[in-house]
Amino acid sequence: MIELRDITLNAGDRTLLADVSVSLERGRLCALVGRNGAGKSTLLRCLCGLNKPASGQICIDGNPIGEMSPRQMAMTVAYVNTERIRVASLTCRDVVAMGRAPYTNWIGRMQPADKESVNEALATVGMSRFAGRTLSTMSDGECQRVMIARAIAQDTPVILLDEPTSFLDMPGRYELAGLLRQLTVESGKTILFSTHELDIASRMTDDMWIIDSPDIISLPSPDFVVRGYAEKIFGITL
Amino acid sequence: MKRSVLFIVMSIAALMLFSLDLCFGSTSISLSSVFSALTGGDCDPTARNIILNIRLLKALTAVCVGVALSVSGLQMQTLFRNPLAGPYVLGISAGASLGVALFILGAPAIGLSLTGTSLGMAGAAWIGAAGVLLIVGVLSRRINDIMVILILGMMLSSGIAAIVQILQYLSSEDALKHFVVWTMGSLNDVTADRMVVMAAALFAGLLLAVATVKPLNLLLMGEQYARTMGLNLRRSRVLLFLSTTLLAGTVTAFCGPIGFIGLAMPHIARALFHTSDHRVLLPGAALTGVVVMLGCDVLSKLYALPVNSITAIVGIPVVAWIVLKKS
Repeated sequence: MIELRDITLNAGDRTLLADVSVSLERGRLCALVGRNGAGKSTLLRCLCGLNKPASGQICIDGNPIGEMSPRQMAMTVAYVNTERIRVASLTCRDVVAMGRAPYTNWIGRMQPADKESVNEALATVGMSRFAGRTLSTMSDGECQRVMIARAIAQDTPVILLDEPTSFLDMPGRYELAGLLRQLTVESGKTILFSTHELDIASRMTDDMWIIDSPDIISLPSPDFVVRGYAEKIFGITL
Repeated sequence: MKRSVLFIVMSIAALMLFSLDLCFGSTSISLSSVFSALTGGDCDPTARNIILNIRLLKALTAVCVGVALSVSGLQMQTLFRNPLAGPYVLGISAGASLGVALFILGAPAIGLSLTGTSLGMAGAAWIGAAGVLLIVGVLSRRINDIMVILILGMMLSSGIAAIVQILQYLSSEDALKHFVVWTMGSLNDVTADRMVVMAAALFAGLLLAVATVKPLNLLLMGEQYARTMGLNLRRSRVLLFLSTTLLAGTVTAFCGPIGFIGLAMPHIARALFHTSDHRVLLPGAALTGVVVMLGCDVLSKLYALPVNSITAIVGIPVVAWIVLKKS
């Protein structure tokens, strides 16, 4: 369970969020939506400890993340952003194996259980046959799946994704949302992802967090259209 | 399996070049004499003296330089996520030069005569190198664009070079000559007691380097990802900076700035071992550095050229190859 308690977020002089308190129950799939520059990415970075909020506290399963060590944090939250990782001679398996970093020893030695977990993660995202290939030979959609497999291998209760659908074509976006849904249902993970795809957000998730600066509106996804938020915040009719 | 074969082949090559390096010089000494001199067997006392007191030290220095600069270059390339990064490019050697210049040229100016003290010179180079790395490190925390950091690093080097020039301009002839000879880079000046100091510092730097293997692997994914996978960024940077200062700073202090090894060896190692995993690359780059430095030393003796020109001639095609492969 993710809880924001009185969170204030700034970007330079601008206040993105002011004294916001929302929460997301365990095992839910939640879409984070809002206009460009509303603070979606900043909020996600705060949730995984990369940034610090100006004030307030973020708790995951009751534990304040500000008090966690980098390793504890890595065992609690996995993060996927839109950065394209293209390292020469780094295979998919190598990338996914990095997700095991919080569990391996000082030199990163993989135990049989770690290898098993990497194989499972690759299978979950349907990328097992790509395991030996390098990222530079793969499409954006395939790379995205590998990065998600890495997050799965990290074996955390919470996964955060920053605009995971952005480089994908239309079928790819729905497949991705389906994969995230499957992860919440089968593995009980809590998943929060930012997106501009209001259709996917409102139809394929459990909850939505709508950033209406300086506030976040949290509601069950079916209510998004019914209660007219699409029109109110984005000025469009779904 | 293929990797271990490669490691064995390269180790044999390193051993062969090491022996060759002991044979060549102003007078050639046969391999069998080298062997008996090393094992304490029956051998001409003059040859024994040359081998044990001059050539062995020089060959060991070549090994140290090869290991230290290659490992340091690998660390900087991964940390800055830039294939053209290296101790030299980012101004660490320039910093070391400033330290040494201040020491050799500045000390006589204020009436002290400290030149030639190996510990003092090494200390000055270390402080200079650490200072530059600290500045680059602080800049890298505030600037996301790696190209900007690289440009600033090069500007910093140029600025330091200007200060060094001013010091040269103001210094006495003796001190000036001492400094200019140092900047040419040489494996000849390491005496037995200096070797002890150098080897100890390099050993400490290498121990730290081994501790940075896992952070370096995580850093391949960029700092953001690395942090979300449990990397303690601040601690890792301190470790990397300390390690690189000990490795590159020490070598530069004792042997002068030796170009291109730190930049080129990690690339050769990546191409040879087909991996980005630092558990393989770190020893791989170190071994490549040893082979190439010993080779360069043998060539420099054969053609009676400064070792720095040889490393540049070997290094420049590698840099050209990287740029061409990237485009």
